[in-house]
Amino acid sequence: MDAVLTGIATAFSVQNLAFCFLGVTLGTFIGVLPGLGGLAAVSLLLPISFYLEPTTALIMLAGVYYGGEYGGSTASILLKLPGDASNAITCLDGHEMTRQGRAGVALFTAAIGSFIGGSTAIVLLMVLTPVLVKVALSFGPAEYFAAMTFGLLAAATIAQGAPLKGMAMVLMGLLLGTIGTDVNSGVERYTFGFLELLDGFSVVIIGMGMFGIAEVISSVMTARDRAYKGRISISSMLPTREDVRRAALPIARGTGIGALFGVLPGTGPTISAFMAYVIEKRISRTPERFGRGAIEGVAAPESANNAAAQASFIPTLALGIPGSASMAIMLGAMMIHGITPGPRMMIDHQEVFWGLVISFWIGNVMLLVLNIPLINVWVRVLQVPYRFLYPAIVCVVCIGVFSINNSVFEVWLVLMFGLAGYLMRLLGFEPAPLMIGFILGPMVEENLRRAMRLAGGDFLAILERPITAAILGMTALLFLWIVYGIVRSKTRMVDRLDDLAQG
Amino acid sequence: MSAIRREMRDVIGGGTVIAVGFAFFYRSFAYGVGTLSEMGAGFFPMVLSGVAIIIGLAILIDGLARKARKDPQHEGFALRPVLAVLGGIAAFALLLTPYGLGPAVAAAAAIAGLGDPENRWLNLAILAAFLAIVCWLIFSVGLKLPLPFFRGVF
Repeated sequence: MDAVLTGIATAFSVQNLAFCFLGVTLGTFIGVLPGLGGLAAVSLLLPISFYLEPTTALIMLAGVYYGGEYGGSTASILLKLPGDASNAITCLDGHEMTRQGRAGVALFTAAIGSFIGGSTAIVLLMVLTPVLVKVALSFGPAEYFAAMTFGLLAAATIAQGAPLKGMAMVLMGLLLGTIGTDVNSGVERYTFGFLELLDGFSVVIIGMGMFGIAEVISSVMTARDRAYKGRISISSMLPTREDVRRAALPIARGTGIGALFGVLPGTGPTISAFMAYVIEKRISRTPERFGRGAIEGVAAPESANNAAAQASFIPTLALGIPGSASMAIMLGAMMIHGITPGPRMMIDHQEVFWGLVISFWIGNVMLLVLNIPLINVWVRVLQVPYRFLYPAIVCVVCIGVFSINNSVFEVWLVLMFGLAGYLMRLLGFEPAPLMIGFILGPMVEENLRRAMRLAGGDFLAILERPITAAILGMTALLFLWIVYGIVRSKTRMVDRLDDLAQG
Repeated sequence: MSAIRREMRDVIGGGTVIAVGFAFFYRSFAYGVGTLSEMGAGFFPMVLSGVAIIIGLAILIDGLARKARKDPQHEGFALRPVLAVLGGIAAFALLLTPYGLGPAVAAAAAIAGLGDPENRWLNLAILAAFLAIVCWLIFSVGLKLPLPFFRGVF
């Protein structure tokens, strides 16, 4: 209980309140911009957080992340340009509502749904994390290795795109993670004589290159000629009694789906939003209304993606294993600030955890204010043509990358990762699994080495540990299921969801 | 601007994964593979790149085996934005140290802005000057990064 009170005191300190506000505001701002979502927002602002003390920095960065989730829905609804993949499905009915002159109601529903989804997931976070920490305390290197392997496979195959390509991307991420000095032996791996690579790549460079620059390049053409003309009046935001009746249950179901999928590895906000939409359409008595401005089609996915965004903090904080690419970058941010998430942090630095959780509440209330009474600020942002916005984004990325180590070398690296990320997109390879592989890579290797040393090099010996055996068994089952899926239908899960959502 | 056909995408993508895999695989032996109980620095990358080569092959074969079909929804290669955005970043990297933040930001913004053919020279000049000043105010004055507006020539 003391830790909770300390957490409340931490979160309500003037400095942390200020940076929480700054975080959610900047997160919403970047989330509103077409093509840039929570992940790009966090990597963009990570260098700025270096100047803050760790708890404050985490409060701000987390605010940037879930603020980005709120902001992403605005561009989807008004312009049919999703700020982020997790808002893509909201475009269908959200933009249709805008065309019918009900943009205000759609935005209001998205904000309220996001708030309910987010708050519910925070409660889950408060209840479930301490439980998971107790389990995790009995984890040795073998269990961590098994859990991370499961997370990597899930991230590669469930989330988005073709499973084989996802696996290839996870492996590319793991390999990128081996670049730099090997902590066990001191051997320099794959540095090719570049002193700048001795510490490996910075997570910020990969995040900004593959999610920032690559997205900007492909948005230059797609985001042209789209601007929302007009303003949103507060009175036009108020839903009718009929709207409330229709939206209530979808918000509840979306929240449940998001909270569930947020905790599971590999299934973040995007898949939750898709699932929530598809389920609403399935169980609706009037499925023909979907795609024609049904309020359920905004309420369910927007509740789901925010619930998932908050719930995905559970495995990240309790186990130190991120379930999504955004959480991978949050984990990277924490490690840069000298905090290694996992059960030890939860015991030794309880005040950090509770401070963060309480700040989530504060941040979500702030976002409610930012997204309902102050909605016109973001509408104005969308009225700036993208051809003026994106050169500014490029400049901020350059300065941000340079400021990590005051090194121009890293600016060149971001150029290379931007190009690689753009080409990957064109070839149908997702950058998210690569990001997770990159962050988890060094940890997987470390735990594998320790587990094998303890087991005397006998791989079968680690299967005698019940938790390890159970998790590796689940990993094997998942793998078989995926292979079966590829062989049987050769269709991708998301393809099928796409079809369901559209047809 | 035509979209790359889907089976070609898989052939190119699979081939790239194989090539990267081989590069890592080849180098990994130089770092010492070791044994299962005492793994060397090369062990982990060796295993990973080995698996990557296999997966790359699977993607490549999948692409070769698939019947050709157009996939019109997929976006095509947009040369102009690629050159402009990457050129802008390169200009920033080249100009920052010798000439300072102002010229670097102005050049990056102007060159990146060329990615959209609707951007006219006058627009870009105003945008570049505006961004140079705003970035300087935020990062050098506000956040106190050690980045002077002009360096070298003045």
